[in-house]
Amino acid sequence: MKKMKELVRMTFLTKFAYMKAFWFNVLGTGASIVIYYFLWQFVFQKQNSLNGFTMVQMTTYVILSRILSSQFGGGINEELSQWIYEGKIGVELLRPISLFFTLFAKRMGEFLFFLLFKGVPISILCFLILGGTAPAGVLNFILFVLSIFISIVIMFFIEFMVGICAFYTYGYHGLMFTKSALLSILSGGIVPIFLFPKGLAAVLTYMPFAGMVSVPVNIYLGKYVLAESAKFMMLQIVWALVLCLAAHLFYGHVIKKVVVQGG
Amino acid sequence: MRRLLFYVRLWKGYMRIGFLILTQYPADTVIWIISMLLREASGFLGVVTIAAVAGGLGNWSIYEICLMFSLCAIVEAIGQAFFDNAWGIGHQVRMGRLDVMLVRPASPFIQLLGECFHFQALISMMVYVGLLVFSVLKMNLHVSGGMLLFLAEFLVCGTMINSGLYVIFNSLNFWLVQGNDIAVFVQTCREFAKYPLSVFPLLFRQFFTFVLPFGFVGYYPAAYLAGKMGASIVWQMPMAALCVGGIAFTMWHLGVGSYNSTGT
Amino acid sequence: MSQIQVEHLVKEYKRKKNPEGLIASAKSMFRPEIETMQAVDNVNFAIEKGEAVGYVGPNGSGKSTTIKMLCGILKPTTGSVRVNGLDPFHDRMKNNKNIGVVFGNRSVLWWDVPVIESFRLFQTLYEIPEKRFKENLEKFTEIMDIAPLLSVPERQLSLGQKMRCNIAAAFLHDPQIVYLDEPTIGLDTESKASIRRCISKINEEEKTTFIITSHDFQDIESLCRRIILINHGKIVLDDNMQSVKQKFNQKKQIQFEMEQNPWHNGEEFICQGVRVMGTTSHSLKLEYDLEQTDSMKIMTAVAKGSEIQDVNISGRDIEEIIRDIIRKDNHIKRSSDVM
Repeated sequence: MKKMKELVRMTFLTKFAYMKAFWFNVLGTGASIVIYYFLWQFVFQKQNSLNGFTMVQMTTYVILSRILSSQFGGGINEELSQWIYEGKIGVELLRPISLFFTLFAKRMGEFLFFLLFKGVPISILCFLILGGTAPAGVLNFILFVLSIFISIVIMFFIEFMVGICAFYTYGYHGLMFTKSALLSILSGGIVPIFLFPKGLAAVLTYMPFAGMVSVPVNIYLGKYVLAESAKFMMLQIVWALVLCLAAHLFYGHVIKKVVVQGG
Repeated sequence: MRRLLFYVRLWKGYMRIGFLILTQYPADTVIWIISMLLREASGFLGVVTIAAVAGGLGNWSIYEICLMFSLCAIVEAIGQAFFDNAWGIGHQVRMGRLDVMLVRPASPFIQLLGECFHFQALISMMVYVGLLVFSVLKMNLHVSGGMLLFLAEFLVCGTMINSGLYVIFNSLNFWLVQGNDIAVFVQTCREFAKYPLSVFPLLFRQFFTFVLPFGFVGYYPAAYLAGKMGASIVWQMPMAALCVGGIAFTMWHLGVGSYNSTGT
Repeated sequence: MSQIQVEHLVKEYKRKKNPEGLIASAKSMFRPEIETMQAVDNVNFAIEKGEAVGYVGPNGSGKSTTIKMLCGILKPTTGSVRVNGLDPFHDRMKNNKNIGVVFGNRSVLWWDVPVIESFRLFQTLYEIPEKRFKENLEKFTEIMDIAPLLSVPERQLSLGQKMRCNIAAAFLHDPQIVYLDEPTIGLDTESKASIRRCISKINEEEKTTFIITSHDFQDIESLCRRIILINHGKIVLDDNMQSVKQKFNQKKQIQFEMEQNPWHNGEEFICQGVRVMGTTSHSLKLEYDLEQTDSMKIMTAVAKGSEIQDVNISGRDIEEIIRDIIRKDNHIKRSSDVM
C-alpha cells in the first residue's frame, strides 16, 4: 500500500510537470462536448424526447460520456508499448514488484488526477453552462461513482493487452488510435448504445466496453432500476476478472518470447 | 531550380527508405489501415447515427454528410501518407533528434517529413474515394470537368490547410515540454469539420473559417458541391491555404530558431 | 585566420526551476520560477586546419553546448563563432556541407534498412558525385572494417558496429571538420580500441580537423595532440597534450621491493624533495618532485642502505591530472563564492 501511494504520488508529480499541455487536453474534451451538444440540440428542435431521453438528459449524457471517454486517449498502454519497443521491458521485469502492480498504481494515479483536475471541474462547468440534470438519486450517484471505479479496472486490463500488442508491431501509435477510437464507439462514448441497430445494441450492452461509459452514465441518469444497476455492475466485475485472467495469460505468453529472444 | 531538383531527388530517396521499412513490417501495415479507418469512422458514426435518428441534419441529407466526410478523410489520408511526421516534432525535439537534422545540408523540415511515411494510408484513402463516388452518385450530381478541377484544387488546398494546421500546433512542442495533448486538441477540433457547420452557432462557424479554417477541409467544399453555396469558395480556399501555409512556415522557423537542444 | 575561431562565446539558458513537493508543484503550474544559467561563459579559442583537439570537461560543464554552437545547432547568446569564415548558425546549410558530426548517443542511420541504404541517402543529401561516393565508400568501409555490415539493417548491429558505421557515414562527403561527441560511449574495451585505431588512421590520411569530446581520457590521449578543458562554462586549460603532462606531472611515485627495509621502524629515509608514502619490512614507497630530484638520485640513495630487488616508477596519467585541475578550479570557485 505504501508503494502504491508512492507510485500514485509520482504519477501526480509527472502530470504536474506537464500541466500546460494538460490544459489543452481539457480544452479538447470541452470542444468535443460542445460538438455533440449542438448536434443533439439540433435534433431536439424537432422532437421533445428520443427513446425516453429528454434534451436535458441527453446533454447530461453527452457531458459525462465525453469526459469519461476522454480517458481512452491516455492510459498505460503507451508507456508499456514504449518499454517493449525500446527493449526496456527486460529491466522492468527485474524489479522486485510485479509489472501489473506498478502499472496499475500508475493508472490509478492517472485516474485520480483525471478525476480531480478534469472530471469534476469540467463536469461542473459544463453543467453550469450547458445545463444538465442532477443524478436521479443519492443511491444512483453512489453507484455511479462505484461503477466508474470498477470501470478503471476494466480499462486497465484492456490497455495492458493493447500495450503488449506492440510486441507484434513496429510502431505503437496505430494501436493507440485504434484502441481509443474503438473504445469510444463501443462504450457508447460517442452516441448512446441504444441508437445502434437493435441486434448490435443488445450485444454491446453486455460487452465489457459498455461498463466504461454506458453503464455508469445510465445509472447516473436513473435509466436502470436498482436491480438492473446491480446486474450491470456485477457484469462489470465479471468482465474485470475475465480480462484480468486474459491479460495474465497473454502477458505470460509474450514474456516467454521475450526471454527466448533476449528482449 | 537546382535546389528544387535536389529536394525532388532527396524526397525520392526518403520514399525509397519508407518503402523498404514498409516491407519489413507487414503486420503494421494492416494495423495502420484499420486504425486510420476506425479513427475517421468514430466521428462519422456519431453524425450518421444522429442524422439517421433525426432524418438528416437541417437541410443536409445523409449522402451529403457522407460526401463531406469523405472529402475530410481523403485529405487526412494524404497527410498521413506524406506529412505525418509533423506529429513527430515533439518526439524529435525531446529526444534531441533534431540535432542530427540540423547538421545536414538540407532543410530540417523536409528531413523531418522524410523520416516517416505511411503509404498504407493511401490504401485506406481508396475506401474514402469509394465513399466519395458513392455519395456523388447517390446525390445525382452531374460530374463535369469543372467539378473534377474543383476536386483537384481541393486536394491541394485542403491538404495544405489540414497538414499545415498540424504543423502549427505541433511546432508548439518547441516551447512546451510535452505537447502530445495539444495534438489531441487539434484533432478534436478537426471533428467539427466533419459536421455541417450550419448546425453550430455563428461564433463557431466563424472560428472554423477564420481561426482554425478546418471548414475548408470538409464543410465548404461539400456545401459547394451540393449546391448549397456560391462559387466564391473557389478563390477563398487557396487564400486560406496560403495563410495557413505561411503561418506554419513561420512557426516552424521560429521553433527551430529557439530550439535548445537537450542533453549534456 | 584559423579554421575555427571562437571569441567571447556565451550561452545562457533559462530554465524552469523544478519545485519540490506536491504543493510547490501545483503552484509552479501557474507561475513557474525561472532561473538563468550560464552554460558557456566567455570562451575563446582558435583551431587550425588538421588539428586534433580534445574538448573535455565534467558533466554539465558546457562542452556539449559549445560543440553544438560550433555545429550551428544552437545560437550563441553573445560572442562569435567562425568556422571557415562562416557563422555556423546563420549559414548553417553552407557550413553543414563542410562538417561531419558523430553523435555517440544517437545514431544517424535508419534503424530498419540496410546500412548501405542510409549511406545512399547521405549521398543524395550531401550531393556527393557517384565516383567520389564509390571511392569514399570503399576507403572508409575498409578503414572501419564494415564491409560485411553494409547489407545488414542497423537494428541487427552491435553497439560497436553501429558506431563504426556512423563514423564512416560522417566521412562520406569529405568533411573538413569532424566533431566526435563521445564516440566510444558505452562500448567495450576492444571496440573502443578498434574505433580509436580507425579514427587515428583517418586523421593521419585525410588531414581532417578533429574535435573530440569524451569522458574517456584514453580516447583523448590516443587521438588528440591538444586539449581544451572547460569547467563551469569557462576554459581552465588550453594546451598541448605533452606540455600538460610535463607541467602538471611534477610528482611521481617510486616503489622499492627489497630484502630488508632498514627504514622500517628505524630512522627515517631522508632525501631532498622526497616524501615517504609508506613502509613495510620489505618495501618502501616514496613520492618525489621532479623539479628537485630525479629517480636516479633516489635509487642511489636507497641502494646505499639495502639491496633493491624491484623498482616501480609511476606518474599520474592525464585523467588524474585533469581531475586534479578541476578539483582545484572548483575549490577556487567555491572559496571566491564565499567571499
